[in-house]
Amino acid sequence: MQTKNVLPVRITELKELQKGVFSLKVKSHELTENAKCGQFVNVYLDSKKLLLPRPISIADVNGDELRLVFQVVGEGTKAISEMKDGDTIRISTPLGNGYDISSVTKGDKVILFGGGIGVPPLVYLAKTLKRMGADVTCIFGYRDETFLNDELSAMGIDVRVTTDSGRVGYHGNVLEYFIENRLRADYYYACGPRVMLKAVASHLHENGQFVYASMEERMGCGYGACVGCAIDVFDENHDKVRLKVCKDGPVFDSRKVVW
Amino acid sequence: MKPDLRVNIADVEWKNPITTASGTFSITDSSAFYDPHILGAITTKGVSSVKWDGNPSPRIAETYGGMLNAVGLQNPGADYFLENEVPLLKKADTNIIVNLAGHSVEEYVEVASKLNKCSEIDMFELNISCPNVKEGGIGFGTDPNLAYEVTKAVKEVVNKPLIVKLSPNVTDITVIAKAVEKAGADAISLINTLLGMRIDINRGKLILANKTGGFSGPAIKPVAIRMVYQVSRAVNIPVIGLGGITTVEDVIEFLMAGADAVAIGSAALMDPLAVPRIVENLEKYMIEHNYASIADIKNRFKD
Repeated sequence: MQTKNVLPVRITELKELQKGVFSLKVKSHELTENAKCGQFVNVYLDSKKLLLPRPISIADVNGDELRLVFQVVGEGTKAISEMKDGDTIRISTPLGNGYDISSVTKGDKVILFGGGIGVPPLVYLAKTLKRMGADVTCIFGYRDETFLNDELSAMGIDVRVTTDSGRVGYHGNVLEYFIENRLRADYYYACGPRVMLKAVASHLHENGQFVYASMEERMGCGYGACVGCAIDVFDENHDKVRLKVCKDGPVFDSRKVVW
Repeated sequence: MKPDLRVNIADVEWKNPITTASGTFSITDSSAFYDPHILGAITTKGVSSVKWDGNPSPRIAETYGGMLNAVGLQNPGADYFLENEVPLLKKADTNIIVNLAGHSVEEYVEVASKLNKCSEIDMFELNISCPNVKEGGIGFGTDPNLAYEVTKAVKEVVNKPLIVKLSPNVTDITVIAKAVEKAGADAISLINTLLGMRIDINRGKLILANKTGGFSGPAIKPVAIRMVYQVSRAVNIPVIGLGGITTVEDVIEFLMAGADAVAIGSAALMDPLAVPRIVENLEKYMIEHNYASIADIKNRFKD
């Protein structure tokens, strides 16, 4: 049954938020109607040179508007950043399993750990959780320059900023901030570099808790066909299995990941 | 007049000459984008007798005009395949070709025997050319004696047509093609991926954890065309051509080179709608160019 698609859509807004970090907006009912927090889309470049899609997490959904926030890390993301408002870009409908928020109820305390370019998918998540009545705290770590934190703060969401440089917010990383401030929540969600995810996961595991972590791996097709983006995960019998980040993830229960 | 797209590959009729290249089609994930009944045949990802974990990540590297992959035939094994994938595959109204993977003659024979009983499977494709599997895989595809031996052994335990998939990583591919034909292969598919490597110059390290990977994509097409041309003239069994097909024009080129059918691989990874687009365009192209049948296209080519 055809449940997925790739659509040509017009860019309604493309702007640089910080040096090398771009926000891209498109309007499409088909792209947004079933989008879930923590899912991603494949962006297809019309290039003879760059043939594989670029998987980019969904930063926000507002009605029919889909927002992606990405960092220029190579030629593909550079090509996307050089497009113009009004240009047509091919984007897949949402892929992967998003964050499991099915058990969160009104008044639950939730903490979101974001690291660098791992922050964007947490924007949509924070807004969704807040709408559900959860008590949301975001701890966003950056190297030096921050982005998206102000937008969430302006919406009344509690955002704590940490920077490696100490230029803004707390001087240190998200886990140090979390420990130092003796924070605790009912649910934890995270997206960021693997080393951050691993540190957060092991700390929470020591305290009998866990985090829903959005993992990353080099993808080929980005929709489950090529089995390129495998990571090691424990199954229910605690046997190691290789699962696809694009299809079985990108979000995994941290207790199941073979760190 | 509506052109006749049907082809006959080793006594199996395909509604059109297009199948999927092994390892680039998933019955659940590809079918989310298009209905596989449009295909002449589905070729599955490699299935081994028992579960294989494949290679560590990273397994994918992009490169100019193509990609490298070093998946290493990760698959859940024949029993899982029979129980979970065959029921989905049989719902698709098309031929099912199962790609067989092994590390040794015994393993190839074992998986072939297990799957031969399954009436839903129409053909087998023997993968003796995966560059990402150390023992077996490419070892069988680069030595004519081993290629002969494994083809013969598998042929003895199956009663479905057997396609043998050849590696381009050899000095003379016609030698291997003739060896598998002599061993009883009913058809040949070629080419599998070319052995490649990429370095991340910023980290000063190889990109792929497996070091080397199989190079596929539009950049390899001229190599594939040349080999299809050579092999189709060296053997008397049908040839399924693949390697870098991304457009209907590429399909025509393979048919003219000597292929009786074609497979689309990387193009589907680079665009999940590529396969339905090419299938649709093939009929259009034939009408536009006054081709009544696939044989007509092949016959248009003069050496």
